[in-house]
Amino acid sequence: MNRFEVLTPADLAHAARLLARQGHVALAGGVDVIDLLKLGIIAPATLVNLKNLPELHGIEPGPRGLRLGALTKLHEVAEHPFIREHYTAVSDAAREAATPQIRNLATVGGNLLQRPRCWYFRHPDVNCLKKGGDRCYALTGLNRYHAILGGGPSFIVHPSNLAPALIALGASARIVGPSGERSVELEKFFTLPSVDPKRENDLKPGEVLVEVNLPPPPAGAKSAYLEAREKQSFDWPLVGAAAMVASDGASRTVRDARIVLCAVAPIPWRSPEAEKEIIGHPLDAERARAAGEACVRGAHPLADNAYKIAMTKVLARRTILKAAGIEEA
Amino acid sequence: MKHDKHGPPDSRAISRRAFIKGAGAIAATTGLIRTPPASADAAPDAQDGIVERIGPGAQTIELKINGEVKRVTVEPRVTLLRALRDHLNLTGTKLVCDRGACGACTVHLDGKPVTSCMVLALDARGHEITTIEGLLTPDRMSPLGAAFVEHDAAQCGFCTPGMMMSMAAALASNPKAQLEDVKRAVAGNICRCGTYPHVFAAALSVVRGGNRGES
Amino acid sequence: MTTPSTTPAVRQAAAHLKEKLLRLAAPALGAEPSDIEARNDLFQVRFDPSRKMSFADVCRRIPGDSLSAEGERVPNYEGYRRDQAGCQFAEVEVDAELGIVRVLRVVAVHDAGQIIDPLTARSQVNGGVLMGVGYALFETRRMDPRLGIMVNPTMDDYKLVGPLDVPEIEVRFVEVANGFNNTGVMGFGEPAHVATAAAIGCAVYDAIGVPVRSLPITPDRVLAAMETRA
Ligand SMILES: Cc1cc2nc3c(=O)[nH]c(=O)nc-3n(C[C@H](O)[C@H](O)[C@H](O)COP(=O)(O)OP(=O)(O)OC[C@H]3O[C@@H](n4cnc5c(N)ncnc54)[C@H](O)[C@@H]3O)c2cc1C
Ligand code: FES
Ligand code: FES
Repeated sequence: MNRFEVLTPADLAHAARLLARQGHVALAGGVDVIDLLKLGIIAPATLVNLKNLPELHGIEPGPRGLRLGALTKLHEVAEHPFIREHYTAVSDAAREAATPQIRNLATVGGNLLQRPRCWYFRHPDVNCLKKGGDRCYALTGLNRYHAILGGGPSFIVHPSNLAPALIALGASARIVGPSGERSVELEKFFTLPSVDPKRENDLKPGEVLVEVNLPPPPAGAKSAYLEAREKQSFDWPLVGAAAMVASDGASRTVRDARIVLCAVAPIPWRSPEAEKEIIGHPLDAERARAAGEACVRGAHPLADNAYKIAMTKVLARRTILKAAGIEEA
Repeated sequence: MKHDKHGPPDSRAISRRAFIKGAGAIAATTGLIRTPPASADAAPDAQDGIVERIGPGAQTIELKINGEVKRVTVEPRVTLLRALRDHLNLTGTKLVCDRGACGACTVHLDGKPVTSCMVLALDARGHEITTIEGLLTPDRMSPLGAAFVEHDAAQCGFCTPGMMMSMAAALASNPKAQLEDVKRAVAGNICRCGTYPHVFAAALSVVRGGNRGES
Repeated sequence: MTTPSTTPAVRQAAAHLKEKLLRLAAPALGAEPSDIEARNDLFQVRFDPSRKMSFADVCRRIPGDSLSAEGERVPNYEGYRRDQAGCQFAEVEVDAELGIVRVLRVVAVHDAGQIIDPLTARSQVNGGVLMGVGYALFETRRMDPRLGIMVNPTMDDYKLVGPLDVPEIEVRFVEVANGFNNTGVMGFGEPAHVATAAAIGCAVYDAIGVPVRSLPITPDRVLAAMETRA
């Protein structure tokens, strides 16, 4: 780990100004920053500690939805009764993430901005495309945990399992930079490696992720998040799926839906194809199965990860049905 | 490492634990010598809107550990785990993976378990830090510690302090924990020796003891 | 294996130590060491029980502050069988759509020679069983064939059994008198380990109707095996 100084800015504007400088990196919970420092993937001269900024704190439920300060801890998200009730997928995803000890440190903002867990990217002896090297070693190497959708030229999967759940519920991020603020739909915030393989999102130098805002869920909407892992104890998901389904009570006709997949693509992967299969139709197991099939229609598996296709179909179907409260026979 | 040259003349007078601690201290000292401290510049930089500037050289910070305020001089890059083990001689907290995945380094921050390898020491300022030494000592056993011994919940013992910290926090917040709860409580702790069944049994015995009154 | 390899030497050292104590007691009791019996806290002359000394009094005659003796682990005695017998059972649940295997229960029945401490013996078998679960389902070193590096050298990528992967474990010891060494102790950490993986493999076969022929039995392999079923 290189030596660095740690600065605490007085306010948000100064934080943004500092972060616009070369070699300055934001410090939230520190879980990913410290790992990247230890691995030598980043070597900043200065860490800018965000924990003093009041705008980044707090969970605020209200009639206009929910505001999650960027510094909200994952355990707070997992345990909050309002989130549990109205944004179930988000609460479930936070509970499935990481370990109790990490959930007590990790923040929502840091979770969305964490770097990939790809074993080539995190290997100190490998200089891959994401680190400025000339290729993605996963393409021809060991790729059982890599992307089946949206890959190329890098084949990482986005590591956040909170992001798909937030996107399924229509979240947006409020971002403050040196020259003002902007709000961006979380769905559009993540960027594919075909745009730039060296980053996973659209946060510009100097920008601070201040909060994540969730609109009130559509009337009659319910949501769910499920993931498949090798281990039942802490493990990264092989595949995950978040679903929001808004349907009319008795007829079960779906008025609105969002299906977002986890760990299958370099970004949280929304599947409009799957949504189309269910919107406007009465939902049943058959419809949900068709949506699962639709999710992977464009999939391109690598040598070791074709199994993720089968898994994605199943998880998408189960998550849709779980969100809608339909028991499978 | 030339342990022998540093050993006291009567090597029988030194316990294995003290010896190992001594060896650690030598390694830590060498580390400090390699990186000369930069000029301490703690003055807030009003012009830049900075309320605190710390490092990159070693600086003295205050940490409240097990109820006592301790002063420790560390660079900003030193993790809480390293500060505890290498600078404060609190070696009950263990270093294994150093990346948040095993739980051996678990301590409490304000009563909540966290992996101290993933916290900068300076970020632990202003929090109540509890280490395994604050939870129990051989002559001040906690009911959970006694239950670990009674149920043989430690084999090599390396995961045990972290395991106990996670479990203690969970039992404090849920004194009626059931099997599923105690399993989840230590979901972030890895035990290579396979002590889990006895760890669960030890925790559940404390829960039952608690229901009967103090045992 | 620690207990069977060390206890015979410990027992032999203890026997030598006892001889030394008898030799210390002999002059005081006016008897030959071979005529003295040491039982519980007493050293007594066999043919005249009125001549006796307490253990503490014998110890007072120790020159210096300690008495020591050495023992060694001699080769096993001829003419006794050292084979171990045991049965390992595993009950698994397979998510047939996702290929994920969970071990629900393991029953480990072991011919255990003489058990010295039942609690720590159970710990030993628990450890063997849990390593067996990891061996069967999770653990493997993944080497990139071109780069020559292990890609999963960390504790999140190299998957070790965690608390939520622990099955219910039932341990039964069948103590058998065994004369191949002087304590009759056998090792059972390894049998519990290797046999568990085999039992899990067989249980998965029983569940899905086709065998998965390599370890670990990861979801991709279960799904691939099930594809061959039709
Ligand atoms: C053992 C382990 C298991 C894990 N399992 C999971 C899992 O199952 N699912 C999952 O989703 N994640 C998992 N994680 C990842 C973990 O959730 C993230 O590392 C954590 O959320 C990062 O948050 P942080 O607050 O610690 O961020 P930091 O490490 O402080 O920051 C992360 C990045 O974001 C930047 N940053 C942080 N906050 C802001 C902000 N407000 N504005 C601008 N930039 C900012 C930092 O500069 C840095 O680049 C796991 C991590 C570990 C160690
Ligand atoms: S050493 Fe901190 S979690 Fe492993
Ligand atoms: S007792 Fe050895 S790792 Fe847990």
